[in-house]
Amino acid sequence: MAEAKPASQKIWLISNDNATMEVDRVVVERSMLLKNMLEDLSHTDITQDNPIPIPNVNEAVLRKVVEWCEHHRNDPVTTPDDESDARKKTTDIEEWDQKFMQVDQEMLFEIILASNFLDIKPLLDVGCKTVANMIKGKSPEEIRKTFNITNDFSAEEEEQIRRENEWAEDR
Amino acid sequence: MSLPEEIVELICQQLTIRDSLTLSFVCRASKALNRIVTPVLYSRFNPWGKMKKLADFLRSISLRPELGGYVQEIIFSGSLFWFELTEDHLTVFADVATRLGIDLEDWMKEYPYEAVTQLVIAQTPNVKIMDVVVDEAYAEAGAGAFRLLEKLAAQTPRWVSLPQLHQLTVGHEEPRRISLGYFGGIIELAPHIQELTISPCYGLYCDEEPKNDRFSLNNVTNLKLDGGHISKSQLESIVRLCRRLEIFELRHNTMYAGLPEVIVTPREVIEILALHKHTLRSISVDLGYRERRTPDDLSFTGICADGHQILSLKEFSRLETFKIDGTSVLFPAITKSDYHTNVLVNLLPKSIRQFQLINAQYEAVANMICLVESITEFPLLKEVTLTGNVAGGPLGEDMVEFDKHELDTLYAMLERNGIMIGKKSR
Repeated sequence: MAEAKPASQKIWLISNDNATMEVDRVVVERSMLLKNMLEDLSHTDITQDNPIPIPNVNEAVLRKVVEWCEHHRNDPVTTPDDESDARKKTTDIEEWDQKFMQVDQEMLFEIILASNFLDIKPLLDVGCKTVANMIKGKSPEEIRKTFNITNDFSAEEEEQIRRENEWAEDR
Repeated sequence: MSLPEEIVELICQQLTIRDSLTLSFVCRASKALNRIVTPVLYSRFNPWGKMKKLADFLRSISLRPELGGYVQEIIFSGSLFWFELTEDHLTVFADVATRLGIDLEDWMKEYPYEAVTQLVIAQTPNVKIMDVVVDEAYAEAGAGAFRLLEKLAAQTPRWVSLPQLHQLTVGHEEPRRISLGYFGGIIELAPHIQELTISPCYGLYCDEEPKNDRFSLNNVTNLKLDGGHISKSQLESIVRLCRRLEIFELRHNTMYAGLPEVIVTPREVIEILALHKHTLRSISVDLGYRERRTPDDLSFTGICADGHQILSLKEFSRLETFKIDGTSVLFPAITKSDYHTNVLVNLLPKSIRQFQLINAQYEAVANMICLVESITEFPLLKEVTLTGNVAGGPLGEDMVEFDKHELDTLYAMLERNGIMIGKKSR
């Protein structure tokens, strides 16, 4: 049976470049990966000297992720039903999150990867929406330029794709 | 893009059905993106009534059927924007019809939009959600407007089916009464529909006779009839086709008055639903503005006629949610000799969790108090909503203002019993 957990319990995380940080358990539990891990551990297992390693995430990115989790520590947990309804999908992002995501592209992608690894679905959604908004309204060439993509289509191949998807370009 | 494929897919899934232009541009950015994003681009399709968009889409999924296999959601809605089909379109569509084994006859001349729509539907075998809500009803009046699909459903062996379609909405904005049978071609191909919304609903067949027995609602568990004008026999004919209803919604709202069919009464609705008394979990009925006929009058407001009110849901063994309008139950008036406050106690089943009564009579509060006093008979009740008739509401011109003291008493009792108040009345 799971032990009772103190509301103010602290958890220590260590990034892949050996930076340790102390975080409230409730904040850490925004990550489903860490939440499930903590449920299997005694609250004395994690100490400053024995932090949870976050192997894929460096200090700068981990601090950003923790900052997001701190801000959203009291948000309700989304249900799979909320997530699966494609019709409710929107690329609107709340103001705080918009400002939070004003980082360079490398950091944005790192946050997305970290949230995917740590299983923080709402942060992953915000990251994906941010990139989706960057794509909106851009031509194929502008998309390539923005994301440093090489065009490996021949002119004929690209024209064939354009014609196949012509219906989508009819506004 | 230096992100894993599944993340790129997630990013593109954030784009809505209105962003198909963006998705098509992403497809053209590189071969890898084309491979990852094409299924996302084709997963949702809405031509917004544009003939050219529809025809181009049909051409693409006809030339590469695997693209049609990506389609999971289709919406046909909006006004038609005309476009003359090109020879190129017509040649491809004729080939498709041949491949599907049907004769297009004069469809391309007489009803090209409807023909193209049906050929699209026929080539989306994995579609899960479909809305067919048209500004002008398709083709001819009556059953069988989707006759090309009916022909496909009649084939042996059947080459075309929509086995994944579980959520279907059909409707129209036509000044004609159009039946559910009118959309029969879609339903005949889709045996696993679970959620069916008909908006508006005038019945299973209005002026026509059923033409075959392939039309089945066997697996519908969630039936929503939103608007229209439906009689007892028409409602019964639809409800009988469902084998195991769990959720039922009926809202009356018609553009017509004085149609020959007498509208179903609230009590008849419940009598019909008793066919599913051991499976229904939720019933929501709003017949507030129904036509009420008396021998010499036709009215649209007023309290429920004695005999038309719902009396009991006790036999509905799994009913958790019941939402009803104030004209579908009848509380004896406080001024009358037969006044009592047991109406709701006698009405609700033991399994009830959520009860909503809107546009109610003045006496509803006393009845609700009586219900809470008998809470041991309703151990699962967790939420109630009660509102009085609004001015000009279904009970009449006058607003029903509940007695404040009585209402405070009710709210205090609900709170003591841990029952949430969905919406506080005045």
